[in-house]
Amino acid sequence: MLEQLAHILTSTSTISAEICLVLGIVLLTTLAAFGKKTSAYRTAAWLLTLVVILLAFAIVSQTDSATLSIFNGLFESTALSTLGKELTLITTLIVILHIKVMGYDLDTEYYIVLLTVVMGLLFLLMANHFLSIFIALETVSICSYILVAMNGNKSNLEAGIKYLIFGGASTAFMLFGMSLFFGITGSMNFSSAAFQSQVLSNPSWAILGALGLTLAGPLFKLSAAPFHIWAPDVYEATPTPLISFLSVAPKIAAVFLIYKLLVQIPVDAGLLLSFVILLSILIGNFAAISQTNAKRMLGYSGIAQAGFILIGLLAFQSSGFQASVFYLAVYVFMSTGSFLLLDMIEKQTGSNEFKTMAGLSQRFIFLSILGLIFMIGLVGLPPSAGFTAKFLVFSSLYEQYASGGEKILLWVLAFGLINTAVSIYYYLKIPYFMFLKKAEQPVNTGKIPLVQIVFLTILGTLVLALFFAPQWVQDTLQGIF
Amino acid sequence: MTAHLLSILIFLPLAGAAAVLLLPETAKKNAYRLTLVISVIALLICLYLYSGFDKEAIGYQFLEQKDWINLELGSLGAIHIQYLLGLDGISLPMVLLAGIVFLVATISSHSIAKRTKAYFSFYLLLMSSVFGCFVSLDFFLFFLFFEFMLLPMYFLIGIWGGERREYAAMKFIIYTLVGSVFILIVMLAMGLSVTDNPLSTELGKNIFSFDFRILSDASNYISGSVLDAKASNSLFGWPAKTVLFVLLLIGFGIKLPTVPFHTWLPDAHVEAPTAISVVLAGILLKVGGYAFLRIGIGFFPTEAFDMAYVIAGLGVLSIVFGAFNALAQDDLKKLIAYSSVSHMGFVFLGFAAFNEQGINGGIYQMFSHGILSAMLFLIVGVVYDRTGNRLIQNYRGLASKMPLFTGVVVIAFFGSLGLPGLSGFIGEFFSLLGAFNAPTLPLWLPSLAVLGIILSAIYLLWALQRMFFGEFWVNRSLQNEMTDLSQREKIMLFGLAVLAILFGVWPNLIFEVSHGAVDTFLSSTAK
Repeated sequence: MLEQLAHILTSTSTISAEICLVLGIVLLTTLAAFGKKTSAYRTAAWLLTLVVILLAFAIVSQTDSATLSIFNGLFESTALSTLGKELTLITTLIVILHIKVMGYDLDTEYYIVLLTVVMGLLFLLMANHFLSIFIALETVSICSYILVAMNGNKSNLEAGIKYLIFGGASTAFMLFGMSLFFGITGSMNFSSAAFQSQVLSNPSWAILGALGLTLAGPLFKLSAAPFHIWAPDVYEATPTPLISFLSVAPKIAAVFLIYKLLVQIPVDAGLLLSFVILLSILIGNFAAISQTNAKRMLGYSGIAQAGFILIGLLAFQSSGFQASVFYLAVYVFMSTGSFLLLDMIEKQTGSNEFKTMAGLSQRFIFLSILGLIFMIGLVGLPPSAGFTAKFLVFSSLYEQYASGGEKILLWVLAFGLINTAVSIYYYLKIPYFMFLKKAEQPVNTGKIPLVQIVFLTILGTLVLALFFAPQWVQDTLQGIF
Repeated sequence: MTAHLLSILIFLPLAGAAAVLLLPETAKKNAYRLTLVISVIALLICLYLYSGFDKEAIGYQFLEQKDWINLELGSLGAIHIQYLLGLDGISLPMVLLAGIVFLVATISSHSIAKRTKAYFSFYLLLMSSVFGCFVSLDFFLFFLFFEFMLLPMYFLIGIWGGERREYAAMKFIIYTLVGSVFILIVMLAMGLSVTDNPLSTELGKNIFSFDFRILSDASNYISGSVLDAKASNSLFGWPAKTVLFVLLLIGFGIKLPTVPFHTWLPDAHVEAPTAISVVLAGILLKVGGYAFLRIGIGFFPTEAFDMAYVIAGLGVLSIVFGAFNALAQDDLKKLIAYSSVSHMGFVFLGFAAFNEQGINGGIYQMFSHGILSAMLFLIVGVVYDRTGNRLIQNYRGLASKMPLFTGVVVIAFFGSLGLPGLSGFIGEFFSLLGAFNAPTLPLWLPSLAVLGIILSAIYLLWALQRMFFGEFWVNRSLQNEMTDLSQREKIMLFGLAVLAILFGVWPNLIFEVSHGAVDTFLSSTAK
């Protein structure tokens, strides 16, 4: 009994960052319940959120890198989960700043839900048991649905409902997969020895089927095909800073989770993943080509990007996962930067349609250059870190193939590379309209506040800087593997 | 200072691009002047490099080496990317050509009136990446510059081009990006098959390298990897090295361009402003030829040798197909664009011969075509600037009003069709000589190429006759006094004409430089 108590106490001290978030949520709820609905209160809520995130980041970055199993193996804190938490919190920080910089005056409720999502993600990164995975993932999902629908417009509600329905379906798949695992092994703790031995003594098609179903959950969060259908509508309807958050943060946790499952469950899922990757890249790319709305285009491109990130997991035994994490780290800045860019453009032109961007470079040359940087980053052209990321992912895949991998890997490699060339068409649409097209009406002569440009420049510089100094991320990765 | 000449060649235009962008709106006229100064300095550096180049020495000269990026690959080791620059007899003529062509194109850019600052900063970026391409000795670095060339070119065509500029720019970038992707695949496969042995032992893990010098030494190949000649790897059921070589052939073939990957070129040329056409034909196409020689043939000699007839076949196809297409054009610029396709075919033909004459001829043909095509596109620019129209049938008897211009046109046209005494002859002659002597090629291939020369005589002389001889007449809708060359046009065209003659009568200017490198190249690939 006393032993249990001691265990819970040490466990609790390990999750102090999450506790900090919970305290923040409680404070914010109090503020929302008893405070007045004035701008000053909303600013206070924003400030409180910022402080909580910074505090959580400080705690996480101080975390001991040793592996620590907590709450009787429900969660496990490792150097890897710490890295994932750091990435998640950095993303959140960028988004929180985005909200203020762009002058959004969000209600306190938004911050409550946002922090809850973050908390869910941090737990998800540590989850080491089907039960805790399910709970953490559902915390994230449910709050995400609310976040999407909260604005209350017709389009927001529609997107929220779509998100909810597809999310519900994929959760059902995931639960079914988990229950199959439980039926096969009699255990929900997939890192336990009993689980492993049962898995090995069963036919691999059964295990693969269960794994495939279980992966539906994280693949939905990743917006990978065939669980991608919600993405375009949600992207288009959701307020930009929120979708900037939802397009990155859940992806980080999802990739880490898939990695964990692949490592723990000894079955060759190469074919399954290859299928998901090929489908994601194909659908994302070819649907993005015909879009006329930049935000919707980013929605489809997010599907393709998910495919590219997953490529690293095909070679997870060697260096692939590191490549994926590097990709994610770069993607954090590319994606949040792109959404900030679109938000700034929308403030000037009133819309996210490509055609309203025509001729913007004449008025806002600096903004246009930054736009070019983010877009070549997303394509994966040098000298942006997007290139390094794709380069690493593809080299790990090639190495995996060369060291005796299956033939399908080569097809994924060839297909992925060719699709990089396809993707330049739609990504370049933004610079194309800004630089090449003439404005139909006179361009808005409003000024962009300096703080917005500075913030965007910082993100853009990071996208370039990580090309020249990949060691900033890689040194951390080296320490872990 | 002299130790970093190659870096200066890259970073001076880069700094210039930033400087032009930061010029105040009131001083935007200075953008042209600044670019001109930078182009002159760049040409002077190129000339200095040419004069300082030791023709007897073997290996790369003016080397600059710096560790740059370390990409960790986890358990596999790390990729070691260097900032490595150097010149040999193959790249030096290209660097010199780039210096000449960029200076001419800068002068020709004088008339750019729209968004001058942006134009010149893109232009300088392009210049920086072209020089970077020719002097890089690290595959990764080369690829970086190779890819980076696309963006400024995209904007230069897309913003300052003609009617259908947006279509042409998009076509250009998609074609070349597909080519780049192929090259990237090869780069990945090669980079992960070669280790820097001393460094690997020192650090105790695999250090993969892209250094051209390490890549060309078979003792560095990891046994069993795709580059290892003894291992039998296959990709998609084909021998791996053959697949990689074909990828390079297509990748650089798009850039060169060779038929059937050439269709972006006429569009890009027709839409691009004169100065950019000059750069595109004069130097950008040469990147494809140069890189194919250095990387394609250099690192896959056996495959290249086995497929010599394919390379030569593509070359001859380009020569004949390009010539027939040129014959059918009524737009002067399109005619010249197709003649470019035709003349660049000789480069592939020469390379495929695998002997000294052929490869030297191919290099010479690139150099000479750089000068002549720059002239030809300037000539189109001269006509277009006066009337805004390029259709051949709208002009007749221009010689009577524009004697100086006609003189230059005669030199350029005769140079292109291979009149002895002008530079075009040497390149084509040696390429053909090599091809006829080559044991790898059937005789009918170079014989067909000769047919291409006859065709080029037909289309060029026909155009000359229709436009310049007879009684003066210009289509009435193009009311214009056809004045002779302006001062600026004289400087550019006369300068290039002098070069065309100089390199026509004194081929050793280039052969002396390229000879040694080609010798080493052939002996190293013969193994």
